Amino acid sequence: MKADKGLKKNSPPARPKNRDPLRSARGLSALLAVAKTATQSLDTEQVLNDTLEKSLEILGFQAGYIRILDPNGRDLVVRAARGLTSPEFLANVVPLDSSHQSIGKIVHDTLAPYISPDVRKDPTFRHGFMAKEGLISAAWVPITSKNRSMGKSRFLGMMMVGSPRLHRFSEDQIDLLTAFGAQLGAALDNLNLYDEVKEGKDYIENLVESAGDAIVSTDFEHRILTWNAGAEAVFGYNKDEAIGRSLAFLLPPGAARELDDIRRRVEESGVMRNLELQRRRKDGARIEVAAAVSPIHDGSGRVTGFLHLAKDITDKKRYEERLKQLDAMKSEFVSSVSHELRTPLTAIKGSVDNMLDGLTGTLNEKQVRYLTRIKSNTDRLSRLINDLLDLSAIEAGKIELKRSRVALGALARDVAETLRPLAADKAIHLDVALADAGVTAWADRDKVVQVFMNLIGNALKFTPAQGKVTVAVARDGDGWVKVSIADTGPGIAAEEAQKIFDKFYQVAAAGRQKARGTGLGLSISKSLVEMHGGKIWMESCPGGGSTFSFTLPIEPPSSAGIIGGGNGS
Amino acid sequence: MGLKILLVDDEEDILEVIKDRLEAYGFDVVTAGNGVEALAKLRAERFDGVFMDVKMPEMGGIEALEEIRKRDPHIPVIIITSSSTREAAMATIGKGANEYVLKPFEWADLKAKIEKVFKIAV
Repeated sequence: MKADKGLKKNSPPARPKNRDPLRSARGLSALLAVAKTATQSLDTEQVLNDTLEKSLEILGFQAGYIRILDPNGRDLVVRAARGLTSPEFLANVVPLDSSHQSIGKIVHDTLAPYISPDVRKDPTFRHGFMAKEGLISAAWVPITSKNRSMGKSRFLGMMMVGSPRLHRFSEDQIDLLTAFGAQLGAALDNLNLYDEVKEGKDYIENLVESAGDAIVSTDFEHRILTWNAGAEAVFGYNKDEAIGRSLAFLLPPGAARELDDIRRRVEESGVMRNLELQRRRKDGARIEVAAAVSPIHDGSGRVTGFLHLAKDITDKKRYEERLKQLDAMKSEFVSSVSHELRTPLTAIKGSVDNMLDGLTGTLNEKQVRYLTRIKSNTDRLSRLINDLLDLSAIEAGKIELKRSRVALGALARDVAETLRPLAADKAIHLDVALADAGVTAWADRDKVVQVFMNLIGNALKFTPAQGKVTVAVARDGDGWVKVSIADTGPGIAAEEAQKIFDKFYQVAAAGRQKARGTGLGLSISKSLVEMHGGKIWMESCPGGGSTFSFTLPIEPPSSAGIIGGGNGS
Repeated sequence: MGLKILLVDDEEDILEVIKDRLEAYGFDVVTAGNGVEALAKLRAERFDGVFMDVKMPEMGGIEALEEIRKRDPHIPVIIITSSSTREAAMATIGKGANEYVLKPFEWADLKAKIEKVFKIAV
C-alpha cells in the first residue's frame, strides 16, 4: 500500500479531520531543527542520527533505521538505528540488484514513501524480520538527492520508522517523514560536496605545504597571507614571523621598488615566469631565487593579490660560475697542452725530415729505416693531436662555420687530386662521378675539405691494392646535395655500423695494424656535417665494400623565409 | 735567390731545423729568440721576409706582427704557430700575417706557402 501524495495534495478540502494542530506545529519545528542540523553540521553520522531521532520523537516511536546507498551504488547499508536489536537489521547489507523483492528495492524503484499499517499482513515482509523486532506498523521514506540526473531524483537511501503497536499514519505524518527524507538528501548532497571539496582542498594544501619551493600568497599591498614550509626553508622565517608582514622584508637593500614593478607588470600582462631575483634570508645571507609571480583574482576579475613561487638557486648560480671558470681553465689548459705537444713534435719531425731529405749528409740503409720509423710515428702523433684539438674545439662549441657557396664537384676533384699519390701507391682506381657538375652547397669550405679528406682517406686506407674508390656528388631531393664515397674494401658488419662514428672507435679486424688512425676522423666528420644541418651514414655488407654518405644544404636555411617576407610586404 | 729572412722562435731546436731547411731552399737566414729581438734586428737590417712563432717570452708574435705592420705594411710575414686550433692559427692572417703554418707541419706545406707569398719557386 503506497501513499499517493500527489493526489492527496491536489484535494485539500478532503483532508482528514483528525489533523492535530499541535502535532503539526511540533512537526514544523522538528523539520526546522533537522534542516538546521543538516545544513550546519558537516558530520554525516550526526545528521543521520539527529534526523532519525527527531522523526521517532514526532511519532512517539522507538524503533527506526536509516539505510544509505553504499558508494558502490548497489548495497544499502545501515548508518543509523534506534531501538533495533537483531543483527539482521544492524549488520545486514541489502543488495539492490538481488532478484528477491525487498522494501529497499521498492523504495529505490518508486522513490515514494511506503506505508505498512500491519507488516504481519504485508507479503513484502514474509521473512519476518519486522515481526522478530516486534514491529507491527512501519513507514519507509526515500532519501533523494536534489541533483537530478536524467530528469529523475537520485536515490541515496531510505529511513524507516516503526511501532510495536498498530498505528494509523496520518497524512501530515507521511508528509513530514517525506520532508525529512528530502531534507536528509539535501544534507547528504552538501556533505558529499563538502567532502569532495575538502578532499581536494586538503590535497592541494598538502601539496603546497610539502612542496620544496617557497609558495607565498600576498594581498595587493604585498602583505603575506600564506607561507608554506618551503618558504620557511628558503627564507628562514617561520609562518608566525612571516604572515602579516610585507614581502618587502625579504628584499636586499636597494631593491625597494622591485615589488611595485612586479605588481605593475603582473597586473598588465599576467603571470611572470623565470624571474631571477635577489633575496635576503633571516640569517642575513643573500640568496638568488628563480621566481614566478601570478595574479590572484576575485570573483569580478579584479587583482586582489599575488602568488609568489620561489626556488633557491644560489647553489646553482655558484656552480654555473664555477663551471665558467673551469671552462676557461680547460681552454687555457688545452691551449697550453697544445703548445707543449706541438713544439717538441715540430723539433723531432723537422729534424728527422731534414736528415731523411739529406740535409745533414748521407745516411746508410739502416739509418734511413730507423728515421722513417720515427717519422711515421711522429706523423701519427701529430694527427692525433690535431684530431683531439679539433674535437675539443667542436665539443666546446668554439667552431664557427664560415659559410659560402661551395662548388662541391670542383672541391671533390681537388681533394681527389691531393690524395691521388696515396691511391697510386696501392694502384687504387680513384674516380669522381658528378651527376650535376655545377651543384653547390651552403657550407664552410675548409670543414667540407676536412670531411672529404677523412672519408676518402679512410676509403683508400681500407681498400686493398687494385681496388676502387668512387666519389659521387649529386642533388638529393629538394634543397640537399649528397656526397657518397664508395670503396671495394672488406666492408663493415651491421653491428659495427652504429659505432663507427663514436670517438676512438676502430673497426676491429686482424691485419689492419698498418691502417690504424686516431679513431677520431669519423667522429669529427659527423660533428662537422651535423653542424651544417646535414646527415652522415654508412651502408655496407661485409665483403661487399662500404659506402659513406653525407648531405649538405644547398641554400642558406633562412633565405627562403626572407624572400617570402619580401614578397608579402 | 739570396732572399734575406728573419726567423723568430724561442726554441733553439726549432730555429736550427727551420734555418737548415730554409738555407737548403736558398734563403739567407738570421734568427731571433723573441719579438723584442726581432724588432731590434728589423730596425738594424733590411729583410725580405719574416717567419715568426706566436708564443714567445718578452714579446709574442702577434704583438711583434702589429709593430712590424706599423713600420712596414708590405714585408711578407709567415706565422709558424703551435696554437691549439687551425681557427686560431688562421686568425693571424686577420692580424696582418700573409700566411700561417700550424706546427708540426709538412715541409711541403711550408714550401707551398713560401712560393705563394714570395711568388718564387724554391
